[in-house]
Amino acid sequence: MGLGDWLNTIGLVVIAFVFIFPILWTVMMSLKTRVDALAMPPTWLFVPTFEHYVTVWNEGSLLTYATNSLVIALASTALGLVLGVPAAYALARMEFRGQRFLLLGILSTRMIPPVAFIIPFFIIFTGLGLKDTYTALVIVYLTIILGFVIWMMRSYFLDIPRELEEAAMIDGCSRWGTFLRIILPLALPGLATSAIFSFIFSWNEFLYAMVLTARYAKTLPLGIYNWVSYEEVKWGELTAAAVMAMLPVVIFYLFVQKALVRGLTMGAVKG
Amino acid sequence: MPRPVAALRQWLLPASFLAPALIVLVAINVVPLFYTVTTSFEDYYLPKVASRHFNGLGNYAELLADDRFWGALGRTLLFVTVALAIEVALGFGVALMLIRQKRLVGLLRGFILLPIIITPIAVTFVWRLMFSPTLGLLNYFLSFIGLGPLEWIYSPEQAMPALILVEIWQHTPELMLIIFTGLLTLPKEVIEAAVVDGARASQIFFAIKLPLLRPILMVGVLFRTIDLFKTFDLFYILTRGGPGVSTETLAVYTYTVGFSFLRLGYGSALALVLFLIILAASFLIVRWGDVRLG
Repeated sequence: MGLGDWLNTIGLVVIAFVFIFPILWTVMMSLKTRVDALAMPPTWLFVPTFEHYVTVWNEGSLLTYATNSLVIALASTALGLVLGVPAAYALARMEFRGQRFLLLGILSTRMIPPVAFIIPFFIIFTGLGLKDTYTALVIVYLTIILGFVIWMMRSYFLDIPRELEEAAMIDGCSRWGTFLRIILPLALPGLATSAIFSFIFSWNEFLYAMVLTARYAKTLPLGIYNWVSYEEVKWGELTAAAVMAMLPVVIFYLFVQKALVRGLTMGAVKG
Repeated sequence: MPRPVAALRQWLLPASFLAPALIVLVAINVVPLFYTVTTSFEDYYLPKVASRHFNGLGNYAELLADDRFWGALGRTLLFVTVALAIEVALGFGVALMLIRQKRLVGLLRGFILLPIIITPIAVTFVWRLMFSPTLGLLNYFLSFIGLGPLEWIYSPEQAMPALILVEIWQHTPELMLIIFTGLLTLPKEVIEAAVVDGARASQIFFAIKLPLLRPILMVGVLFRTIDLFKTFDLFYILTRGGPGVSTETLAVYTYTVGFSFLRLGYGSALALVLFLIILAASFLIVRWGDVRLG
């Protein structure tokens, strides 16, 4: 390795450190006793404690919020896939008028800011008696997930060679039969990626959950937000709550890292 | 088969795949958006629902004369352009370093990309800790080089730069990844040929790599721009638009008008203006950037 390569490596290690340090520091903070946490200059070596995790778990009914988040994220992801995947297939493989218009229309739903949706959804759901229910959040999360799934899956379907379906259809398979039996199994990686991204979106969402839930359907980000509102100084609990919210997403991240660029661009850039 | 029947069949097949998704898309996107449009023409004060009435362009006239709206618009544009410019520049820098790296590429990449997916609420906690006046590590680090202490999000002058710092920390990796992916797909022969012809590194970058990268880069710029305009959690949780209105963007102001002032009509007008700005910005990027999306 030449000098340039060494400098490049050192530079990248420093950059990587800048990006993960705040996260690491938060994790460390969540494991410190109150005395260690308030020390300045900061203590870098300390005996870890899990007391804050226990406190947060017991006091904040975090398990309920986590369950709500899980149910809502799974339901919106499942619905997004069931509705979006066949549509994506049609947009990838069939010729019909208005196709381009439809694709751009679906893309433009991504441009609607959530603040433009909260007022109508707030009024509509209040009118329907759906405020503070799982249904409300599942519906609202579909506004992002459905368009996302359609664009993502379309890009995966475009990658599958046409010959495979042509062969199946010559053998007498119907279009739906071909789609379900031949194409879907081949698009499994795409389905997994779309599902994980949809799940992460629902899991992380804050604004809709804040406006549309009150008690029963409160999700994890809101449960954690409570620690800001009334206990400003309890850094241990605050950071423990933050770590618990990050954890599932980080685990999922390990699975979708390869497809990250595709997810970020709704399938437009392939890794 | 007679022609109309054939035409119907040709239309029915795609419809069987598309219809469920389209019906839902219309119901959950078009209907609420339409509702926002009609509400934006109304005087609708939530505590006095009974006196809700059609107000024509009243909300839009008010908006034009509202200094707080213009201030929020200015801050939004500032936030979006500054953050985007820095993210593109840094993203390029890191991507170019990563592409010449031979060892540990996967590991380094994995660490750098991590902030992208972290729950925004957790990100705001992380940075609240970093900015803290008593426990903040940023001031502690600055003291080593004889600087600070800074007030970060707690001062009207420093709050916006501090929020931009958080934003670029979380989302530079996104553009870095897109540029990195683009660099991987560049045709090696073209670049090698240029090297053989004696082109300098800077010439190769500006005359060959950059133009070839443009379509992919612009896809990244498009999505980043949309999301920057929509940014809400960061502002709401870290500063609530404060101190004063120093970090109040359009998204935050719209929320405040709708859910603190409970003026749903005026809030709807503000929300639509934000949507139109995002649409216009996206249109310009797609046009100028030669973006091929599908």
